[in-house]
Amino acid sequence: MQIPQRDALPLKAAAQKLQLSPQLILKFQKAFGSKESNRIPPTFAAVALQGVFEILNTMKVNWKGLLHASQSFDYLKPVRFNQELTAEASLVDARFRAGMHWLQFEARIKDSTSGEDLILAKSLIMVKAD
Amino acid sequence: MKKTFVPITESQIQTYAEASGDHNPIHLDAKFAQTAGFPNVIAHGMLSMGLIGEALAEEGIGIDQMRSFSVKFKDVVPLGSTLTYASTRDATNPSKIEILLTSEDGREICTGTVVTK
Repeated sequence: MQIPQRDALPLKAAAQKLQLSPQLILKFQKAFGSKESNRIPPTFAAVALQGVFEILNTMKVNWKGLLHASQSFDYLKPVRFNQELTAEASLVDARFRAGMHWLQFEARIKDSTSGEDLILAKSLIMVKAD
Repeated sequence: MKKTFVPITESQIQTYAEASGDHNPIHLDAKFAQTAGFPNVIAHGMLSMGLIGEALAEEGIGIDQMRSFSVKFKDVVPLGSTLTYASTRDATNPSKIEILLTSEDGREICTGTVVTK
């Protein structure tokens, strides 16, 4: 596993464009066993974690030793169906403690047109040392 | 409020992987999961968080009512697990809801907090 030097942080993933399409929402609702297809699930923003996976792949993590420790979403502005979104993920902190790498990621989901921040996602990922 | 979900299925995990784009083989490939020390695949933590979101929606708390939603993932969710959601509104701060997700064997899977607008 290749941990970036602290002075290289934040390490940014390529911005990701996505549409909050009814089809995307339907897939989430199906996974959650929901019958309400017209409701945007609060965790749809998990799609913004693609950038997190991109960074983890760059770091050549051992996926067997990876654990998602915590996740938070701050909802800054309302989101709506068919909105065009841009997700920007970055690794903001990396520490080593108790035999684990603790990786703090942030992802901002913005309205692609206005550039306004809509959701701030924070993910703490633990990876067992090799 | 309390809600018990139907047992986690392989198809549900695969559908979640497709929706979220999280194709970590620990969720999708039983042999890979076994090499990581699990008897079979485990569900995504974010699938558990999504189920919590679903239970909150049944309480009338959707994304438009939320200021923030955070969870700590305390334990893994093996295939076939039956999860139970419980929520408690903070008596001193009604906009704050504490959440607990447990497995059928009593393990704490997630603890979390939602702050409403």
